[in-house]
Amino acid sequence: MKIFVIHNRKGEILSVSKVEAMPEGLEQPFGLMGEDEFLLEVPVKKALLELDATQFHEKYAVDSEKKKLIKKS
Amino acid sequence: MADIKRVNYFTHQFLVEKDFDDEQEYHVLMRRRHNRGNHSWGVAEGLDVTKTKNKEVTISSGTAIDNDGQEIVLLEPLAVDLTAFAANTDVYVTVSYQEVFDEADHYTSGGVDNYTRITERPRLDVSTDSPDPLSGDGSLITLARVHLDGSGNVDAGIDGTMRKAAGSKIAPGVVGTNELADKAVTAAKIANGQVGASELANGSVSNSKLANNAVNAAKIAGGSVGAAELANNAVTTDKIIDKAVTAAKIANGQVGASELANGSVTNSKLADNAVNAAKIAEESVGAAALAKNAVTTDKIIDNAVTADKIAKGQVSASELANGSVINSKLANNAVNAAKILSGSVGTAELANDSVTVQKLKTHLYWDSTTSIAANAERGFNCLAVSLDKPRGASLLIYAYSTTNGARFEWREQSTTGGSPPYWINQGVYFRNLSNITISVRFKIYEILEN
Repeated sequence: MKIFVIHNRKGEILSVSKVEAMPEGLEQPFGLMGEDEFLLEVPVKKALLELDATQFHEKYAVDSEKKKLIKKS
Repeated sequence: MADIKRVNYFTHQFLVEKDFDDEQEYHVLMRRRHNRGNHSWGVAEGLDVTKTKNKEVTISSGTAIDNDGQEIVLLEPLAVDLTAFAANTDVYVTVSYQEVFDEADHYTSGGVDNYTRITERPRLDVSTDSPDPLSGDGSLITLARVHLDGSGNVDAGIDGTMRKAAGSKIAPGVVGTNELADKAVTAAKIANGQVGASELANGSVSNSKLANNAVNAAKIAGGSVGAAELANNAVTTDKIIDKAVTAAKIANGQVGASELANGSVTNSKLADNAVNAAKIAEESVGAAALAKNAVTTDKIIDNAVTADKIAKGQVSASELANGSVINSKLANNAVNAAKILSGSVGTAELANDSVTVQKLKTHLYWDSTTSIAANAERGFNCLAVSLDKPRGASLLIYAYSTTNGARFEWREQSTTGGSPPYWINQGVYFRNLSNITISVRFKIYEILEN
């Protein structure tokens, strides 16, 4: 299991993918990305695994500078 | 020395009484010498004793000779009264020589008192004393034993067995073969045990001369009893010594089932190939009786081998005839992938709706759950194919949303890349048609050609 997060410069989460399987060797597996879209793979934690993908949008954001998932206050 | 003298008569001889007495005496004595010397004493003829009344027997006329050669002559039958004897007794009737003067011969004249004759009258005696008739001195001749019953009457059975018959005396060795008339020597004349082998002419002892059971084993010369001498059925089992009956003694075909002891025909007694089908009782050939590999194909009748007869696991491919395993012979779920020849399952073999995704040879590119913002689109690349290595891939997409009220769609998109274009990217793009963020669960497979 891998968890990828696509976010914008502001750190807003645009999409979350919890991936069981994905292609290998592709330069860019997540299709065409917009100019203000960035991909972040986050460490898998139990708490994250229990969340539905849409719940990431509500509960988390990304610290763009630190490339880190953070909880919303 | 005493001499025998007889009267010698001559003319003018003066004869006196003594001369006449001598004349008589010479003949009497010579006759008695003859009787003694040439005859044994006993009854010469007649003198039979018979019952004539209850208490009377009568002696018939007859002649006997005593041991002195004196003739005892009864000229007429003579009755003997037995009333004087007690009942239940045996009385013996005997006779002896006796001279008496009969008054009829009495001469009395001229001063002479004498008898002109001497009468030879037999003396008859009846006594309860038992004489010894055979070994006695012969002065008394026993004629019979008469039994008087409880009433003193004469029993009908008068015993004359003690009578001794007078006979001629013959010096030892005098009677030769010539003197014997043909057939004169009867069995009674031959003393017991006197006829030995030398007295028997060759071949004279015929079958009829042999008494029953007279010929015992000792009388039979060794080897003399051949087949001809044996009566039919004469040789019984107990006449045969143990193990005497060899195979050579048994005629062909004579040993039937009844002659064989139970269990006597062992395997070694059977000739090779002697036991054919007709010799084997039905149901008697069990598994133990069959040699290994004895039951060949041609021994098994058609349809005889039922399922019960086949050991588990014994029917392999070589035992199955081509085309013999039809559909009904296959158990449910028996044909697994290993049983199917590669390339054998064509369209015709596949049931409708039988090919699920799992049955397709695929490569799973994506297995993911992705959130898509309202009205946004999110793409997932699957493969990049080099243009000089064409690889037409069909993508199989399986997707659904777990978000209530979600509406979404997807499309496949191929995008060339590189300069000049070196590759083609194939991807799938999901578009959220809702006004809310939705979660899409999806899998993307590549269906492989080979």
